[in-house]
Parts: sequence; C-alpha cells; structure tokens
Amino acid sequence: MTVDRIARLFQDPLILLDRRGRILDMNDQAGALFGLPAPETADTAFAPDGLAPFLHRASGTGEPVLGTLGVRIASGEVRKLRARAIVTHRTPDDLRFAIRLEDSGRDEFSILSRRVNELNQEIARRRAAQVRLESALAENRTLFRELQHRVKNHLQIMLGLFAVARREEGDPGRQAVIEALELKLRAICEAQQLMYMNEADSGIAAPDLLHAMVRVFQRLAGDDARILVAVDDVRVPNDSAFPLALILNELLSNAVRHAGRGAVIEATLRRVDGGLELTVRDDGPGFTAAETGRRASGLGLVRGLCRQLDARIDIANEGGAVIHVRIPDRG
Amino acid sequence: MSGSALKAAETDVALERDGFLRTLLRELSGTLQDVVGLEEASGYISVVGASVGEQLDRRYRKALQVERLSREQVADVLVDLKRRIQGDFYVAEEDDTRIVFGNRRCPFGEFVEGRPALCMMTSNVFGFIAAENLGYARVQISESIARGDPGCHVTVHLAPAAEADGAREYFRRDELEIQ
Repeated sequence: MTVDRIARLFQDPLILLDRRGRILDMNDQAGALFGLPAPETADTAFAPDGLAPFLHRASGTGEPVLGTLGVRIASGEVRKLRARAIVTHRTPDDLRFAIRLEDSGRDEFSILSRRVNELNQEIARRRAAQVRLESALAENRTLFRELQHRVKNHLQIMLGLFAVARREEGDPGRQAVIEALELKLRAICEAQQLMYMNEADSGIAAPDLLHAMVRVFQRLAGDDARILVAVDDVRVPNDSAFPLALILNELLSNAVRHAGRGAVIEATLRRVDGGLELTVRDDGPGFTAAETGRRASGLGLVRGLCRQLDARIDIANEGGAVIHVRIPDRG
Repeated sequence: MSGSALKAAETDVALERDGFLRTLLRELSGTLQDVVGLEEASGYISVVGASVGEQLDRRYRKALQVERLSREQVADVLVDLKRRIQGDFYVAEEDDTRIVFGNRRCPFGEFVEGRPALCMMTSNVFGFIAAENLGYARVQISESIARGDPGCHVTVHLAPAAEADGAREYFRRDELEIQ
C-alpha cells in the first residue's frame, strides 16, 4: 500500500511505518514538515520522541489511537505534535502503521486555544492598566482637592487683606474702589468654594451659585433692597462659572447701587434653547439713553466677560433696568 | 448573610471523596464531549481506558499467578474488577466465540448519564484484557446506562467478524522492533 493517492485527501502530514519504525512512505505535507522530499525518506528511521510506546498502544487496537510525538521539523526545532496512529496492515508476520500528524499551527482547537490565551493576556494587560489608571485617578483627585483647598484659602487671605486695606483707608473714594474689588474677589471666592465643596468635575449647580451671590448682596444692601432669585436646576460648566459669577457680581452691584432705597431686584437664570439666560431686573429709574449705548453703559467688564463666553448682552428699560445675558451652550 | 451559628463541618452537605471524584470525572468528560465532540472525547478516554486496562491486566495475572488468563478467567476477572468498583456486571452467555455481559449498575453511578464517552473505559479495559490474554477481542456495547438504557449489554467477541460490524477491535499488542 502506498500513501500517494489516499494521502492526497489529507492536508495533514501522513506517514506510513513498518513495525521497526522505518518510513515506508509519506505524503508531501509530511515531506514539507520534515524538510525532505518524500522519496528521500523511504526506508529511513522515523525517530520522534514517544514513537515506540505510541505504536505499541496502536498495535493493540483496530481503532485510531491518539497521542503526541516530539518531531524534529525542517527548521531543526523539535515540536510536540498531536498524532493519531492506526494499524493499516496486520498479519502474523507483518504490521504496518499510518500516522497522521496534526500541525498545531493549523489545528482549529489549537488556534482557538491560542486566541483565547491571547485574549486572556489582553484582558490581564487591560486590568493591570485599569488598576494603574484608577490609582492615578484617585491620586489626581486628592491633588485636585488639595489644590482647590489651597486656592480657596489663598482667596480668603486676599479677601482679608482687602478688608483690612479698606478699613485702614481714610479716603472714601479709595475705600469704594477697594470695596468694588472685594466684591469681585468674593464672587470668584463663591464659585471656587462651590467647586471645592461639590467636587464638581462637570460644573457647579447654578442655584447654589446664584443663592450664594445674592446672599452677599442682600447683606450689603440690608433693608435698602430686596433681592429675589429664580433659577432652573442646571449646572454651569467650570470654565463658565467664574465669568458668570463676575457678571452676576457686576449686575447685582449696579442694581443695588442705582435702583434706590426699597428697590426690588430680581435675578433669574433659565435654561433657554440649550444655553443659559441670566436676567437681572430692578424697579429703579433704569438706564438713561446715554447709558444704553454700546460703549457708555458702564458695563465694560460685563461686555468683556460676555465676549469670553460668546454671550450676548441686551440692555433695556422695562419698568426699571433690565439686562439679559444669553450664554450659548459651548459643549 | 449572617445569623447562622452553624459551622461548615456540622452541616449535612453531601460531599465525600468518592462522590467528589465521580463528579470531577463527569464534569471533565462532559467538558471534553462539549469541546471536542463525542467521537474525539471517546478517543481520549480510550487512551486512558487502554492504560488502565494494561495496569489491571498486569495485576490480575500477577495475583492469579498465570502468564495468560484463560477465557473463563477473563470473564471472571472482568466481572470481578467491575464488582470491586461497585458495578454489577454478570456473565449472560459465554462460549468460544464470545462472552456476553449484562450490567445492572454503572460504577460511575448516576454521574454517567449523558456521558457515553465514559463507555470507552469499559470497552478498552475489557478489550485490552481479553485481547492481551486471548489474542483478539471485539467489543460491542449495544445498550448502556450512559445512553439512557436501563442496563448495559456488552459483547466481547473473541474472533474476527467476516464483515465490519462497527465494534471496536482489540489485538494483543505487538512486540515492536523499533530501535
């Protein structure tokens, strides 16, 4: 029996051996695996590791027997291959075997196992990376809080210094300038405080900011004005919080200063068309014609801050001064 | 969950070594059947069965102080080895051409259900011992508890069939001349 025709049915290396383990024939795939043309291997010994016990087991059954053989392949490397052997010829004087080697490089089960192993390694790498990232994130959070804490403290120190300077200043004009600066700094302080307290990565709560700011101005105004607040439950992005706080500071400051005794001031913040609309309204005398002009309203800082936010400012007299600031959603 | 003052050792969890090992074997053979298929799994278990058969054959021949077992001794040994591992095999028929076994209890117990690959243990152990001592065996398992039959029916043919009948053949292992 030669292997030539039958062996063409197989993609795996196929070898025929006699009872001495000498090669009777093999297919081209086997020749390629060993790096030898098939004819040159005829009657040479096939001596992989584990051959004798493997064939011994095969000799005891008429069924294929599974096993592994350590085969030296063309590259010189000894590779452990899965093998099946069966007795193809059995007489009292003769015994022949066919061995089919399974190249683990093409074996589907091995390929699947290799893929699963690769995936497991990838998962292990990602888990390790996740642990490192979580650790780094926790560290960064701690550092961020530490930084916020220090900024808040430094702002408080600066507020204290401004207060001392104002009290020690004898000139009322200079005192007013210092007080205006104090208010601006306090607005920044409030926004900073909210960021620190909320651990807010995604912004601060608008109601908290407005109420905090209004408390400051209500304290300043005393019984001279009543400040009302209406605010939607929205979050203000961190990069908009400081400009918004300063804008609100300017508008409330103007309203308290110009609306007159017994004024009612309304500060509202609404979500409009995906953006925010801040309105500060009072029932005072309103703006003069000259003050509503583009450059002459005394709201230079507000206009500058609005540019920073891509916001639009509208000034009107509607039973008092009304200022609308529309801040688009920049997300 | 808390509240129970029971210790694990005081509970009546049904766990002991024999049951644990049989469960282990059931899960291993089930995994093998699922992963590589019944035929391939049977092939792997055949390797184990032949190896176990070789060890048992050696032990019984040594214990019985004979070079080779006779046909009657083969039948006796196969029933005895199953009895020792809590099977309940018996000889239903016996002549020069075959030994027919019946079985009322599988050594693997209820763990064998749905695990026909484990029948390769019986086929290989019976086939190996019969072939090594009598020269040839062909094992046919026509009924098995693993496949859902009430008992097993195992025929060990002692002479080759004129035509292939699907039974697994076993031969006395050859003394090879591999260098």
